[in-house]
Parts: sequence; C-alpha cells; structure tokens
Amino acid sequence: MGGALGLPPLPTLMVVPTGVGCRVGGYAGDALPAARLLAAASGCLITHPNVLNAASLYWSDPRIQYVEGWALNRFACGDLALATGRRQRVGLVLDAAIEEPLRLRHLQVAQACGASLGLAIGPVVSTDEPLGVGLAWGNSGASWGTLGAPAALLRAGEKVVEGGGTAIAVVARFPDDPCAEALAAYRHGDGVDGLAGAEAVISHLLSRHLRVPCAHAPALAALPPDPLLDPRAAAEELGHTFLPCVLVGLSRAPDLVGPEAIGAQGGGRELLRADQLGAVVAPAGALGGEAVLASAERGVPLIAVRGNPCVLQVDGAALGLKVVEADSYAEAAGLVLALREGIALETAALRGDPLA
Amino acid sequence: MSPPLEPLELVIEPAGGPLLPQVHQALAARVGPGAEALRWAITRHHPPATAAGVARLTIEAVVWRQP
Repeated sequence: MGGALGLPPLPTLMVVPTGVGCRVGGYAGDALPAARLLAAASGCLITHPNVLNAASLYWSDPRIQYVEGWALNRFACGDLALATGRRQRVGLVLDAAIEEPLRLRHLQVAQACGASLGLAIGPVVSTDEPLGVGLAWGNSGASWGTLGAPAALLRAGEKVVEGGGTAIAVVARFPDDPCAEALAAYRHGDGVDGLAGAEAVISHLLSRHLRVPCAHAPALAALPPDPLLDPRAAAEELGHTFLPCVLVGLSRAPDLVGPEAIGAQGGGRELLRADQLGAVVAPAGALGGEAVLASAERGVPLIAVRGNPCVLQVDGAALGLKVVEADSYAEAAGLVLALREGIALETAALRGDPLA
Repeated sequence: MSPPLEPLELVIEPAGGPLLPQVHQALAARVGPGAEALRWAITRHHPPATAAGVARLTIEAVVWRQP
C-alpha cells in the first residue's frame, strides 16, 4: 500500500492526554486539525477519542484509527492488535439518570446517524440504575472521576454485545455545574476539562471489560450562550448532545484483537501491531502515560511537541527518555514525513542549520 | 469496604533502566490483589535536592476493584 505520497504508511501514534489542560486538544476536538495533518504525513494515524471528538463535529478519514484510551495503552504495550477495515454496529448505553427530554435528544441523534449517514446503530440499552458520575481533580490539576454504580455500566454493555452491537457508545449524565469557575475558565479557553477524567474512567471500564471499541459522550443540559466562548470549546455548544462524533468515530473503529490472534492476518483485514509503530507524537510535558512510555522504551521515535503545554511538566528529561522536540504539530508532521521517507532526523538541514 | 473506583497517588524513586516495568510493579504492589490501576499517569517530577540525591516521580491513578 503506497498511499498518496507513493510511500508505505508509517503507523504513528498520537496521544493528547485527557483532562490535563492541553492547549491543543484540551477542549472539544480541537486537536483534529493536527490529527488530520499527522494522518496525511504518516498515512496511518492511531489516536484516541479525546483527539477526534468534537461533539456535533467530526472528520472521518480512513487513515485515522479511532481507539479508546485503555485499548490504546494495551495496543502500545503489545497486548492487543487492531484489525482495521470493519464497519461496526454501534450499540448505545444510556445512563438511567438521563431525564426524558435529554434522553429523547440522544435517541434522535442515533436515529439521525442511521437515517442521514447510513450508520448501523443498536441496540439501545438503558442502565438498570443511575451511574452516579462524580467529578474530581488530582493534586496535579488533572481531572478524574468516579461512578457510583460501575457494575450497572458493565451489565448494560454486556446487553449491547449480546444484542449484536460490535462497538459501544455510552452516554452518562454528568453534573451540570460542579464548579462554576472551572467551567467558565474552560469555556474561555483557559482551564482543564473537568469532565474528561471521568469520561476516560467510564470508557476504560467498558473497554477493559468487553474488549470492543468504546467511547463516551456526556449528557448535559444546554448552557446559556457566552459571547466570550473560546473557539476551541465551541463545538460542544452547537447542538443538544455530544454524541454524533462518537457514533461516527466508532462506526469505523478497528476491532481489538487479543494475544491469541496477534500475528495472524485473518479474513484479508489489515492487522496493526505495536511493533509496526514508526513514531509517537505527544505533548512535550505529558510523556508519563503508558502508551508513550511503552512505545518510547521499545525504541519508537518519540516526537515531543513543545507548542502544546498543559498542567503537567513531565518531559523527556524527567523520565530519561530520548525525544525529538518539535515546536508545533506542523513541525511534528514534517518529522513524521521525514521518518516515512527515510530521512534521518538528525540531518542538520532539517533543523534550519545546514552548516552545523 | 473500599469503593470500586478510587484515586491513588504514589511516589516512586526509579532505578536505572526502563521505567514502565517499574511503574507497573509499583502500582501492582500498592493496589494489591483483585485490583488494578484502570487509568494512571506520571504527573509530577521531583528533581533530586542534592547532586547525590534521587529524583522521584508522582503517579496519579484511578484504581478499579472488581466488586
């Protein structure tokens, strides 16, 4: 497979950690332009819903693999492979705590994605008790969260799979206004997404339990219009739900293939494995996650983007990792393309220093 | 009885060599049997106070205990 550039793809992992206030990707799918560029440069980008989900907005690109965070970590560690090219039937789990008008809005999104986009949707399962989402922040400033009834989430997910769903979109009712100051800062482009950490916990739980593609959208009451709304957060205020991007993303997400099948090439479908990764791209101060560490310690070139600061300052020097620094995602894409083309990254001319 | 999901913060003093196995080992030792770190990240780096000192790393995690 040569791709548009006539070069074989260079499978590239893009990570923008959730809930740590990344300047790019810390809001509402605002790392999507960077992901599109990296997909074009690499020919194959593996990334997670936090990068791609923009509520009512989405971008569907066959070069981009939509992989939930827990599954992404397992992939990077070599415990799972990704089988691409399937169209998923996306089942829907709705938190019993979602009140009726809001529940109807979500059901109509699912119906619209079937009617207008031709996606295979269903079954729809309600949890047998409210999930009880709680939000919190760690000492680092990163958001996290909890569930009062995680077993109810897992039972609902099991019903989706039993009913023929091959991927799961889950919608949990989130507190509307847990911290007015934090919410205002986020909407104005200067804060941590307070929902993101809890969203990750929900989708990680389901992915771990069922090993099918999963992603989460929060159910929230509409906010009053804000003339100072930051454009990076604006995608979340276009509609009544955050669900469309999740359904579209999951509809072509790769299957998660367990260790027993890794190494096999079944059914003519392409299997992506961690040992095929040619690059990892992550914010320079947020390198302390499992996917990045696993890849870097296997020798995959790690491109650290300095132009995407966050509340963390865990860089290559702190972790003893060799990194290639990039000031921006545009520079990172150039480095990925150089790797794909076989040009050594230490080539002085690439760094604007031909006499070095 | 512990809740099924709860936060955890721990500090490690990594030795030389690959970091990830050391993080996995530290988390497993701390959460104990029947539990696992569902989500974790190294969130802070504490440089050594002296030239002979050891750097430390803080890990924040969410622990999942199977009910």
